[in-house]
Amino acid sequence: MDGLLREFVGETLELTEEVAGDLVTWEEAPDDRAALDRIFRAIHTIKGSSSFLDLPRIGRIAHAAEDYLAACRDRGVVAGHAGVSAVLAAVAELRAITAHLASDGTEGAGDDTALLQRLAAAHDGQGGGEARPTAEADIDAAALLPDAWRSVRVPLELVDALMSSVSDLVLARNDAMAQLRGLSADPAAMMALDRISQQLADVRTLVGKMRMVPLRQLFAPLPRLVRQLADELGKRVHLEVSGGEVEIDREMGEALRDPLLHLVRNALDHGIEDPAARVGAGKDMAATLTIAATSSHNRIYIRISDDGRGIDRAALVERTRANGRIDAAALAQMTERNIDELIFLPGLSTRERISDISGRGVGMDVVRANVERLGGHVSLDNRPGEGLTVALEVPLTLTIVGALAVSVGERCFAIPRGAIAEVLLAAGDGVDREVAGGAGLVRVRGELHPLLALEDVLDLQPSTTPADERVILIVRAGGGTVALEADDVFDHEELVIKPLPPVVARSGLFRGMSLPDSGQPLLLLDVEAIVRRTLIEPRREASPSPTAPDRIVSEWITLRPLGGEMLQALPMRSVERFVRHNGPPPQRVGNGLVLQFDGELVPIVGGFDAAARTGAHSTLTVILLRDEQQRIAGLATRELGSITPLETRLGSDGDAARTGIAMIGEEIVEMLSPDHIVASAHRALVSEGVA
Amino acid sequence: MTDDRLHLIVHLGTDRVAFPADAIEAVVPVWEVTPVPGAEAEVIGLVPIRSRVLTLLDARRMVGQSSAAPPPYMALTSHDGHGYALAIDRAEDVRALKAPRKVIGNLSPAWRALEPSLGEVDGESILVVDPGAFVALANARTAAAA
Repeated sequence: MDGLLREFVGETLELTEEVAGDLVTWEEAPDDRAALDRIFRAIHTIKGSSSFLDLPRIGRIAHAAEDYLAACRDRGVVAGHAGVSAVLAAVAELRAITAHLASDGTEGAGDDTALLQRLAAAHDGQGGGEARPTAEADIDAAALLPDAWRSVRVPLELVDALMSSVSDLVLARNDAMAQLRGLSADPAAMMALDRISQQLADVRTLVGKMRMVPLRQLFAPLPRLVRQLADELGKRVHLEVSGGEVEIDREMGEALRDPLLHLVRNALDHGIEDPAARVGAGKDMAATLTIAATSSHNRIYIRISDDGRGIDRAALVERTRANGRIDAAALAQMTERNIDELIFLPGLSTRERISDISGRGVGMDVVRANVERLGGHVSLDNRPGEGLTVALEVPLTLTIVGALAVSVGERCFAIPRGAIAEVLLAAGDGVDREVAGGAGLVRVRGELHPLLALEDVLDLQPSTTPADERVILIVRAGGGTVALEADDVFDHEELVIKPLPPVVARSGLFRGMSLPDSGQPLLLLDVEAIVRRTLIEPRREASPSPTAPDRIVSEWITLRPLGGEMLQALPMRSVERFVRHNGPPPQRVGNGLVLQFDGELVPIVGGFDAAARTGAHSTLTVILLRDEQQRIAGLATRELGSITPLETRLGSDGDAARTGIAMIGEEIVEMLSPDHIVASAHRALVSEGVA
Repeated sequence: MTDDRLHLIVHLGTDRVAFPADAIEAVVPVWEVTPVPGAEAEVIGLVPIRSRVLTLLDARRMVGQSSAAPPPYMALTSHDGHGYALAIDRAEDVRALKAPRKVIGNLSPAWRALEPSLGEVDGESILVVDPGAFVALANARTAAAA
């Protein structure tokens, strides 16, 4: 029985959550038959299960709600505000009772008379006409039911355990593969193992999918929330949600719930003006709040946009000054973007009064901290007077973290990609070291960052790599940035992160550990802790990350081509990894060139012929790119620049070699299309002819 | 209930020690160790074993034995959901031990912290200790140092 009850609780919470959005849709468009059907079906299912489990309160409420819904559905009557409100109240009450059920197994005491009367009144308010016999409605709904039986409820821990044993299986396979190779095993045995590998890859994908839920589940409470808040605040808001079909790891979705709700509340409370003010400003009386989700390369992007008043920069500066957090001189020097980022300061609000809606003590600083803890990033696009867009970027899952490996001497560590703002060569242009009071600093394009050598942070042996061959990573967290210096940067890897045992965790330097394909354990640096530790001065918030992009994070790696001076850039999300090549020159195949990397043949492009003539290709940096079809190609470059957000100034069509033009300072940057590069590299291999 | 439980007899330097056999998953040679910056001296580093990453603890050092040379072997165990390996010099045998009793005599301070009991094998006394005690002690030392 216990199991059945648990199942009922889970099902009811899920059903009520799913219909929340439908209820609002239905009210806005009373002739939306599909929404009404879904609501009816959910309530009907709850009613059916409740009678089976002898839950009288739930049964009565569900029954009354169903009666009203059936009247709307079967007689085509238009639902009024009172009716929708009564059904909303019924759904809320069903959730409350279900929650009670979950806590102690009983429905709890409560008087539902008023609610039942409201539902009955709504029902009666629809005017005359006989209700159709309930039996008929039951049969109708029953026909819709079988789908519900085609899924199985599985505890999340079980899925997690399955996921982790599959990961272990992959590593065990790697081990077996290495052993067999060492024994020069018979090809038949190797083929058998290959088959296992393929199956394993399928299983891994399937298990990964089991953990995924559509963002719709995260968005489901929003229509109700927005409707409720708008009512309370006397504002009119039209909510547009898109991207509900984008899938996200369940755990990540849950962790995103609070930040998302907070941003929506903020938009309604602070961003959106009341109808009179909107009309006065020449805007539509009803505001539009847009929530749009997209996914790309294992990252999820969620934009929360309103067409309200935006952030009032003058008021924000004034408030910051009044708080005494940042001195006037520093404020006077801030760029507009820096000013916008002041809203991430703890305990700051541009509004005089802390309202009930946005809550007390939970500010944008907490939103940002939460998102960064998930390995994500928050950015703003403030259009004063016209609206505000907050963009969240998070990884698809919590357990798999995209990371770069950095080395000092023989030791390697991983740094989460989300925390890296830029990667620079220590000897690169525009990178200047300074020393102030014994503290190392680095100036990058005019911005100062504290400079820390990784070996000092981790208390390792001093590096023997010459300073000008080292790399500098600008890492960011909590609004601050720190420049970390290391010997080298390696592949971009997706790491399965395992929790640390206490003896390792307590140093506070690491966030997790992983066993990459190399078979060597890799520790993931806790960038947040390192930045916090470095920037202990109270003025740390004085320089909000200058590199934080203001639109959806779109990071690009800049490069100088072989035999060319024009600065070019590629989107980071298409970059598989960077390889320094000083082996034999590439070999010609068809009209193209191939190079070998780790035993793999990779078609390669990038002005080789020009470089070959000048003999300048003895050491190359090759950027390995992956296109949408998962094909790989390399672009040979003369010099890698930095990783930086770029904004398209002039765009062009999708199929071209260049997707647009951007500016870095005064310099023009060509934005290259990775798909075009990969396609042309592959095409060249199969086309014959005189080269 | 039988009072003859199987125990793994191992050597930590000159100390002969018995671990309850059901607490040890395996004894394997130590290959490559990845050091952990910022960790206490009890932590030798991380070792990959069968697709898991274990934390290698210097059991020899923790009982006051010399641990200058890298350990040749490690005994694998689990504690609170994490995998650990205890550095040992060698494993001798698996033997049934009569129910161990309270230690008599004056233990060294290092051993006292591990709260061993006293068993007997081949007419000779042997210290019986739970491998989890090493993990708990390392945790306590790390916490104290932090």
